[in-house]
Amino acid sequence: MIACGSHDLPVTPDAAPASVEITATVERARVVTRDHMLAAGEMQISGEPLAEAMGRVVANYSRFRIPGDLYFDPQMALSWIDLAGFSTGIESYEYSKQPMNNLMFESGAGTALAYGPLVDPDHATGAAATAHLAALVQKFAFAAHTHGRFVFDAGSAADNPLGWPGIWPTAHVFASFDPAIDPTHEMRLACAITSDDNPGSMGLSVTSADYECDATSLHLRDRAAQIEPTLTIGADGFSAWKYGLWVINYLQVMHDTVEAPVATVEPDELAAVGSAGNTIVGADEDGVETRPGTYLGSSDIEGFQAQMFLASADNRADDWISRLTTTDGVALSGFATIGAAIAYDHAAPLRWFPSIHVTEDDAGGGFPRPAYTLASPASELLDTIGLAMGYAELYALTDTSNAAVGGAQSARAMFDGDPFAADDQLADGEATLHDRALAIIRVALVDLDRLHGDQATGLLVDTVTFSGAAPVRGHTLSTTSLAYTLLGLRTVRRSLGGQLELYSNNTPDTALGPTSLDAFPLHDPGDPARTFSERLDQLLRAHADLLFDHLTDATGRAWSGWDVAANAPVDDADTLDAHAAAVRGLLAAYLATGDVRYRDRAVAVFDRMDAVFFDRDARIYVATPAPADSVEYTPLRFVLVQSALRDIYELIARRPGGEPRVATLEDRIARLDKLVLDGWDDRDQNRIVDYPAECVRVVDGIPRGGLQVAERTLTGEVGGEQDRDRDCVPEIDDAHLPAGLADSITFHLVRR
Amino acid sequence: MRRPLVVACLAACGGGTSAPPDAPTGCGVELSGNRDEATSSPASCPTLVPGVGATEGGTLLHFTIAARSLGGDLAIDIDLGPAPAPGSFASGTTELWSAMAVMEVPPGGACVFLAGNNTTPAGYFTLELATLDPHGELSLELAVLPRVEDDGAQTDCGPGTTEAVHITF
Repeated sequence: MIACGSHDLPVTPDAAPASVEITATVERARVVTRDHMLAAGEMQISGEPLAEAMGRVVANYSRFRIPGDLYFDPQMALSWIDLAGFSTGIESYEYSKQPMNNLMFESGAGTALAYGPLVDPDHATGAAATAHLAALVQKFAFAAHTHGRFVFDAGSAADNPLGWPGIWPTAHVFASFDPAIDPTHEMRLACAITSDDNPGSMGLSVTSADYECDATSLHLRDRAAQIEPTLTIGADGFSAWKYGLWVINYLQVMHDTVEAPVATVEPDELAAVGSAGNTIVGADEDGVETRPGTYLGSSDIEGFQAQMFLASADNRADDWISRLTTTDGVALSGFATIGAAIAYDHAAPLRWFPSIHVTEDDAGGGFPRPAYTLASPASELLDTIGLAMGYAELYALTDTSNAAVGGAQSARAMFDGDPFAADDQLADGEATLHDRALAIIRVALVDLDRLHGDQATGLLVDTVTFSGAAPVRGHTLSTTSLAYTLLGLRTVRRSLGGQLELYSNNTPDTALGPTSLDAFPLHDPGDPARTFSERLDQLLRAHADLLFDHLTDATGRAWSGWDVAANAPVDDADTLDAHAAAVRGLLAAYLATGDVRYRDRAVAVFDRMDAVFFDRDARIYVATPAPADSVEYTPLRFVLVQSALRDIYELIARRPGGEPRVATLEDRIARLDKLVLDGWDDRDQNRIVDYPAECVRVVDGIPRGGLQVAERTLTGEVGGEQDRDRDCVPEIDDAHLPAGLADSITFHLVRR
Repeated sequence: MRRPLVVACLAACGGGTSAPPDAPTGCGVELSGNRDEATSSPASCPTLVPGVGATEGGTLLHFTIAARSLGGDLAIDIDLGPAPAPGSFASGTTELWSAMAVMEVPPGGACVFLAGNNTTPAGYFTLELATLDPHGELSLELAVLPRVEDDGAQTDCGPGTTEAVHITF
């Protein structure tokens, strides 16, 4: 029997053009580093990989064509306006990269890498310490073919002590900072940046404002007054996660002298890849010979940056393991060896990562010298998970059993002794990133139990304070930190099992065998024979079940947290965050376990989230059941919603029978990115920016973006105009802010 | 040939009741989403035609629908395979299919209504093919793509990024 006219759309189509006028105000511009880097990681995953999941070919976008938002469809031989594809594949993706670069290379919002323990092993100060770093920068530049293009001889100018003019490389990053900067508007350098998306071999370099090649004007304008000189494992951890995500991307291939990708070289030539003046001829993925000269990373700039990120993460790890732990909540100390940290267990004296206060002095050389004292012994679950996730990402790069990442020639060339130490692939405490990453993961996850594990239930709690050296646990676990706990545990499992690959967020896990950390007994009081991997699995399943059994129900209702003492939800609030986080967490649990109950529950929660929290007149998700007069977005809320939409798209809509969801999800994603990130309210829904009338935040005649407060070359601002691409996001020199997110923006919804 | 098909269609979807005297005859087409239109015409009824090119050896269910609100003809082809039989078909299980209409928007723009196995976005369809007369029902979702000219001129295709098409034949 034919079902005439039957439609079973899960999501209600949108109504006619909105009768709601949306304006916005930024409440806080300050960067909270942990949240910003967590958001940046999610935005990356919701970037190019999501666009590709939508069927787009990213090479068919131009970052520079005016008007923007165009997809060139080669089959149809036409360009069409593609908000979903452009806002993900270009904007979310590139926006995610720039605040990371700002932290690592530009702002100075962290401790100076010049004083990193591996960069400065002889504890030199002043100019001698800077010389150590300059030598490293020069080495990296030659290895990536960056020298002579973007990096020049160190000291070649007064403002260029390292080689890349103006860069301010950081080791640790500060917990928060005021990001105000005063970028130059000059365009005198004929600066033309390239990348794997715009390789020099294709003649696609783009002339940009001078700040792209000289970071001098990208430093915080009054650094001492702008920074919160505190280090946390959350800020360091999630930024390491972000660094790792990009470095895995940058090390998918090597490149030749014109930045054409090199997939392979002869095995006996691998050690010489990246050596100055080498003439190694490689092959691309089709086996076609590349030009003589093979270098590290996917492009001149990205190969250089990848090395800098790795150096920073390696130095941080050495600091945390060797100097920045505590056993008494008062004094800082460290593990005696990396091996001791790898073997850390429940029987060892409790040792954990506190937050750190940084004092600096000017020893000359252009970079302040940091000194560390304990700021607070307290511990946060999300911080600890971030640290484990970050070093899981980095461990994958060093693990040669991971064929697609650490086992690839493009990564092995990096960790063969030059530029980074080779490892014997055992968890034996060598002075390598491989073993330091294992050590960090081990200590973080053992302390997850020892500090955050509720004694009665075994569930984790968000916060721990201390009475002397004794932990005093809170009794609540938020759904958001639960979701990221599941994600973090899954990331560690995949990394240790050699399964963590580029953009594999939504690839189902396969069964894990024993991992290298299982050789070291946990001495878990609950089960002395339990291995590290078994405990990981147990934690993952217990928290997935909490989310399924108690923090969501079959109607799709989600609760915002669990009180382990009361054995009940923390409250009865009906919130967007709880629903979006539950979707993220349930789908991570599904991918880790294969248990379809979690997936089906995620669908129910998402459908309720869309039905209850999507304000159909304003076309925006609001924090409490719609309608609402206003809604605040933070980086975390934004990516919770973006991630829920992404994961439902990739895991549900793309399955057979999920097709009716596709178009609505693309619309939701496009609207979220364009309104919340860019600050463009397409009021008449014609997909054309009525400029500047449809920009929601205009100050002093300049559109100021949305949560994304400024942009630069990679998303269309190539200098010279306030908002060249008229997408409502200004260039950084007009915003006097880096390309990054505000900490809070409130959208005001006025109904006519 | 066509008249018996029309009779069969009306019998299947009309629930066996008599059509009002002024009811339009033919195959019914409902458009909704970006553009709304409801028509019924014998010209909208599909035919089975031999595949050519990539579909050679197969049989295509072919529609040419005069859709004024889409600016002209909406052409739909669904490859039913080498041995077509009544049953359920869907985009997820059909290798080759396509649907397209182009509405010119002066002075040089266009709104392209597009779906297919090889397009971006792909859109989707579900087809219940009752008989090979052919007789059945097709639901289809197309993307609405606002064409942008080389000189940057943008086309306003109005609100709605998709067009839903429902055909009773």
